[in-house]
Amino acid sequence: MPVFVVFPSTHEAMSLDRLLTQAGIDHELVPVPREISASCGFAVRLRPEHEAAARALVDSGGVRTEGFHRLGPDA
Amino acid sequence: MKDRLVYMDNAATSWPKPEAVEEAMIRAMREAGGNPGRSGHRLSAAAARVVFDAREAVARLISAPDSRQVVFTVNATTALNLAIAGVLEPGAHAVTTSMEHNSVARPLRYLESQGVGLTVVETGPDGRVDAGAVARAIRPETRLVAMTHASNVIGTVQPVEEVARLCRQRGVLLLVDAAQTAGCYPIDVGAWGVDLLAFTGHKSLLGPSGTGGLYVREGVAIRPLARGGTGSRSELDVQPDFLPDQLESGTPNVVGLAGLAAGVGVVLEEGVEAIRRREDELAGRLREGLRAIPGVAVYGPPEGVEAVGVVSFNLEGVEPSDLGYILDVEYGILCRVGLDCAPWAHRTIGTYPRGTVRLSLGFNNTAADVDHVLGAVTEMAAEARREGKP
Repeated sequence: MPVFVVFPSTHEAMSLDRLLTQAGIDHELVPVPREISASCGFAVRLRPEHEAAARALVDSGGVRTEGFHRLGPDA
Repeated sequence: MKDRLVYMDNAATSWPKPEAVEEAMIRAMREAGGNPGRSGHRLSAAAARVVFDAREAVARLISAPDSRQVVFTVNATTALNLAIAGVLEPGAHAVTTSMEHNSVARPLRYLESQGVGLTVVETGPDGRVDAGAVARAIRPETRLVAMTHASNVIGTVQPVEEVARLCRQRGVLLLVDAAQTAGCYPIDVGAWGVDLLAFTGHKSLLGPSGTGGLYVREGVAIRPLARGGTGSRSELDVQPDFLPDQLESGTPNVVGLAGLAAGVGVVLEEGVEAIRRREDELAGRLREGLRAIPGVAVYGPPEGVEAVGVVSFNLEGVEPSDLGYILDVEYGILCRVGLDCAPWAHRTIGTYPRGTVRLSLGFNNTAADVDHVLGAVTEMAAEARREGKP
């Protein structure tokens, strides 16, 4: 079940995108799934085994998120 | 030497731009053509990365602790208007200096007509403002001190760090106009404690026109000039209250910001300190050379007063506009003549309404360029004497 990280702004999404890329962690920028938020903009999609590493990057990099969400593969 | 082009109008805009800037803009046009952060597809992501990189680059250049606090505008003027109109309300009071460009003077004069109090602190003809005089102009209702970092007419650098300290003690916000310094003079908003700093992308940051922005210290609240789409909180019909989105409505200049990021990259690679040293040396050579020419009056700071590479002069008996025209047509020297959008500054240095000829150095200028200018002015001065003008 993939993990979606959502953000208050594009800047925060780009910030985590950059940190994940630098750390060599596989991820994708995707539109925010409707189940999570009505907001437009990006979510970062990760494999669940990368969630802990992503959370650590969020903390160390001071990235503001609106949470990590687990959704089905069809989301 | 008529085919030679010596560009000395870098205080208006820098030219030529580094190849890296052109290339980055073409690449953005081709490969990052989406709307940043709005659509969620790969080209939208690519565009959002371009904007992110530009923000990070500028934050690094001015030592902003957090790139979220850098918002982009189309130029320094818009950034200054955003800051000035965003913190001043009728009944409040602002302090500024007699060396300001119209991009600070006009918004303040307008707000004065709407009930904002305004004190203009006068400087001497060297253009250097006394930090203590600024502090003494602060009243209980003073909300903002707005001042240039360096004069666009004579280059004088202001004691921004000291003014920032005094403003902090008095609980007054400091807005710095860094149009003439960002990229060619070290800036450290974090260490200095500057609240607001407006910059342009197309001068010493070597980016294209249509780029600029405002640094806003964390915790400083500003009313937006515009409200609209931000790609965030789309479910709400009210403006987000976080940066950069709060102050950045509408589709940004992605192609321009790609160029800005590349320009800042060139500056950071060369090093602001190194650029500063080189331009300071050239400016010294230019000022000294001009002063040695009979009939030439050089305005601005004497030795020992810090200045950036902006040099104003006049030749006795020749109008600045004629001088500028001959420099262009006969010598291939491009500069600015007149009042430089800064009537206050010209009154301060005693050259209003005639103005001056302004030579402004940039990233690409060399000692040979300076010598070419000195040779041209020497010839023109001799010509003026032959014609018995002075």
